[in-house]
Amino acid sequence: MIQKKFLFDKKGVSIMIGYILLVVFILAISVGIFQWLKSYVPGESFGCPDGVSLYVNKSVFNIGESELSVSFINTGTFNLRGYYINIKKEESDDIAATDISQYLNVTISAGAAEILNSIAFADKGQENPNNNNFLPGETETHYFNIPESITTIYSVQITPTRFEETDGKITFTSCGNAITEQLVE
Amino acid sequence: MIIKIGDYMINKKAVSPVIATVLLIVMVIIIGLIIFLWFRSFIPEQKEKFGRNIELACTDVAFQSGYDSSTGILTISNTGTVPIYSINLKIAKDRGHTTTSITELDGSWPSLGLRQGILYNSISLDFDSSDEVLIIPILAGTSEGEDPTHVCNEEYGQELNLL
Repeated sequence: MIQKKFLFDKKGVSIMIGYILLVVFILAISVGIFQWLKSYVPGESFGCPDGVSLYVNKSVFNIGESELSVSFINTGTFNLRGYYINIKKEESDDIAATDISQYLNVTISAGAAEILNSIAFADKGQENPNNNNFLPGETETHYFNIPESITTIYSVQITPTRFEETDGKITFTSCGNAITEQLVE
Repeated sequence: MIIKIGDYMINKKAVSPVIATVLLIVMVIIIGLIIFLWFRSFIPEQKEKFGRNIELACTDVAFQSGYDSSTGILTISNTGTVPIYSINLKIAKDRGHTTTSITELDGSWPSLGLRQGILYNSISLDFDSSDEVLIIPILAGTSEGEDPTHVCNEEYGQELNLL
């Protein structure tokens, strides 16, 4: 009887300390679980807006001069920085497997330049902090000096590029949602 | 005699309540830490990309792939916005399969991975005797551990057309 009383009456910690410990433990566990689960919350994904569209008006391969000309029109609602250009040599090719950006003829391509395997439209000096210089409705023709080892071009595949602002940072973005392919004449 | 022993047991205190409480808390914290450190080894280390869990970045991976059986050249074009650090090739053959990293087959794979918009053409690879080849992307993220790379699930892979 005496032993029973001893077990029930003695307190390890006061009620106040007990509550404080409980709250501290719960807070610590909550913070840990929050930090862990936070990274699983899908955030804003990178990419171009849906209104991006770069249309290839005409694409002609002059075999005699080994020159490919590609005429573009910005049919979207957003300014563009440039594009990636790959070609399919044969109709049977699975994908456009040859990058021809390095063959850009800069002297007759309206100020375009090759930058890191992509073509950048010319800087026209307009007020445009993100350097997306190709405005909606504009047209431009670029020329490529194709090496003689390439004798046939079936089609050109164009992937537009833009500088996108995400979370206050400007990043160079490939618009994989706006890839176009045009048969070459 | 029995009563005496009982009195002794009840009245004598080994440590004061304050010290007992402090000891209890210290022991609980130490045991908790030991269990936490032991249990942590069973949980895969967290890897992040773009501030999110790297598994979520796998959903944003987009690429095109092609294989020219006449030349043996494998072509991969990164059409998404997530750089592909490397790829695994899961090659099914003779009712079994092997998984090989592209870097083991071809040293020309870009050392920093395949950036967005970039094309990769391999050296001649022989998949003629293979029944199926699955291309599985590998991403590089940030991690407190030694290995920051993450192999995406097979659902984010692409089967190569071998014909």
